[in-house]
Amino acid sequence: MASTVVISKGAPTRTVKYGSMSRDRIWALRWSYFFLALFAIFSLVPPLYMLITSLKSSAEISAATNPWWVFHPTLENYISLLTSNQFLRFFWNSAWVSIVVVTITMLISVPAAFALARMRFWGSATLATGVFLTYLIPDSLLFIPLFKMFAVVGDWTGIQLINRWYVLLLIYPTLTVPFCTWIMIGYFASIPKELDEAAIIDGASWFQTLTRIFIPVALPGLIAATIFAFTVSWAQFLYPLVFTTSTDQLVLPVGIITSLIKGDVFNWGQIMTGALLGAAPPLIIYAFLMDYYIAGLTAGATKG
Amino acid sequence: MADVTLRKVIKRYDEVEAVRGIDLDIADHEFVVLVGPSGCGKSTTLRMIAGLEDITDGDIMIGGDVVNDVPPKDRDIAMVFQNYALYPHMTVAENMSFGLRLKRFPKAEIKMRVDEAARMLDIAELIDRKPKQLSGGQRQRVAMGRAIVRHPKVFLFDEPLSNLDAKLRVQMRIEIKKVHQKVRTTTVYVTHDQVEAMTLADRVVVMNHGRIEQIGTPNDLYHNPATRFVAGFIGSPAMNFVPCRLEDVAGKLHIRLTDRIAFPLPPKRAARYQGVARNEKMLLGLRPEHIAEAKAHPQPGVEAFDTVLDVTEPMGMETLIYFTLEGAQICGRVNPNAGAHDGAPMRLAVDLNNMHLLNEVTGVVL
Amino acid sequence: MMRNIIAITTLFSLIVTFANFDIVRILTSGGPLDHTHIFATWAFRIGIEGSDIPLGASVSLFMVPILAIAAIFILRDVNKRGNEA
Repeated sequence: MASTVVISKGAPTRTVKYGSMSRDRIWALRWSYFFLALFAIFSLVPPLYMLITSLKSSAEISAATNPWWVFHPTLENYISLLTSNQFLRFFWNSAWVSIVVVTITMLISVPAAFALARMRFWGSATLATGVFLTYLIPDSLLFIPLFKMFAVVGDWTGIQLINRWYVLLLIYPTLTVPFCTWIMIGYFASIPKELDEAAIIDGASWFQTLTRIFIPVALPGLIAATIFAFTVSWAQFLYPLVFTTSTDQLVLPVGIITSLIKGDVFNWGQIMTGALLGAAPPLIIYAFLMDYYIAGLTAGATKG
Repeated sequence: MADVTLRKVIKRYDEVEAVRGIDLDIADHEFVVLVGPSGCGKSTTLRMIAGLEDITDGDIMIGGDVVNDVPPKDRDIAMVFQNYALYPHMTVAENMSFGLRLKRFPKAEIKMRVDEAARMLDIAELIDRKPKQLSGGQRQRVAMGRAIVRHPKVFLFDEPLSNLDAKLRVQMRIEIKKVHQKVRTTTVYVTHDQVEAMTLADRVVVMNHGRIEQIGTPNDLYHNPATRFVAGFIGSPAMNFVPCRLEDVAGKLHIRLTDRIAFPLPPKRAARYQGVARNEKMLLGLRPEHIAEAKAHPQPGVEAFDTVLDVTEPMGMETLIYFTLEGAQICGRVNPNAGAHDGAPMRLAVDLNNMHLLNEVTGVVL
Repeated sequence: MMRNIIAITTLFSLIVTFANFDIVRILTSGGPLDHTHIFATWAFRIGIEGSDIPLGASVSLFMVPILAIAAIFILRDVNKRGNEA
């Protein structure tokens, strides 16, 4: 109400049209569009090239024709991959690992974040920082110690972990849990304190406060975290390369590299097709949950 | 329905004592308002009654039972928060019924109670909306509805109106009073706004620095403040304080304000202050309405003097005047037709029948 | 206001790039003649492919000091952001 009053007062004296901007701003906007377009082209060219190449036969790929045009489009790469048991096996392993990892991650990081954000206990702040710190330690630092650890565990207990796809279920959460917990801590912290106090007075236990208030309210953040966890598990390359070797245990990225590159022979058509098919699930998920994801990324920036 | 009792309640955060030993008896059905400046411990006290804060020492009783270690959900209380604290993902009806659903009330009972509360608060047609589709006043009603449906022993209000604009605040104030008249639940209400406290309360508890300054009915606090803090806090514009001293002149007790201005005390007041030391620095407390334009035939005990006004504020039904006396800025309320102008000389009269005499050091009203 | 965020993202991409494995492994595998190895791929070559786990671990440990410095700065900035909010 107050703002309408202000506008009606200012309107008669104001000669500038609404919505017009100063020249400075217009140029700033043009430059930002220019660079945005540049980056968009830069990042879209590789997928486009993948698509073009995936539609070519091996003969056409090796022929010295214009690489940016398909003269004899063919689906033979798609057909051969989608009918190959090996490829479907990789795909299945990837999907299975990713789904289980996402589930494990959410089951751990949501309650953990709730506890760290809301239950003030001794050392909770330090613990929250620690969670973030673990996220800063890269996989390339850890894979050798982890390899040794799993080897030792295998020697001691007889439980064979190396070269089994399920070892990835143990390792991937080390990547996903810290980050998801960190996102969710930020999310939960942005929920006003009075909301859980109201819930407590209404008779909710901590668990009910989490499930009936916090999770629904922080759903955008939860979905952002889920997407992140899925993307990480789907695209992780180093760990499966180190820990799995048999072709029936491989996940998609490693599978494509190992099975479609034979020595120096690159089966480019199938590699591109496999990569494209492999990129599809995250793409589809992003497309569906895009709005939530963006809402999740920008949440907490302003007080809603 | 229950009474609430606080016995020597203390709250300490590390080194800071936020609440320093509070004794308070709240009767069944009573509407008690805790009022005081920010940081006086009023909210902490309320949150201790709610069970959201542990008490460091002392006892809190609700309905005769000591609830020191009883969790909030078992205290049978309902609370309305300053920022409403509505669950954003639930509709109005779901918000209001959340507590009942957690306690597994039968569906029919829940619906009946929600409908009843919605009708009482005039939000029946909003029942399927989400909080973000509501205005501030409507959200506040929903927050109150959420408290009402529970039929709790005690209502707790934590500055519920401070997020609303001035007009709406007045309206909701009346609304809260109406609701209390209907449901008659014991209510503890916290605010920093003394007008809100005066208009709502059966009894007002004035707090300062973690202690209770005075407990009383609104009129009682206004006319018989016990301390300088209460005298200055209650009432708007605030009470004037002028340095003064008592003198005996020709066997009669006089109050001297300046070298030029001294008034004989009316008999009742003189009798009351007979035992007070003479010629000591004191404070005279006078409400603005007891400083007015001088009349031709003054009442006994009303004494006139001349001054020059600094500033005047015409309010329509009255004009507020400001002048300086012994370095203190004094506010008075005169008739709009009395001819008060900025910088103009004026003859004013003080009504000493309604004066207060305060010890300057301790702030105690004598 | 943006300084902190920019600092955090910069340091973060520094860490990620520094500790990268996938891209180098796939593009060159460290070849030709081990000319394009970085810590991660070299550690992999020695530790996993060469089965010399202790030596591979030592190679990757060389990343720690630089990562630690970046981590300290990030944590400082993150905490600062927390204080502002």
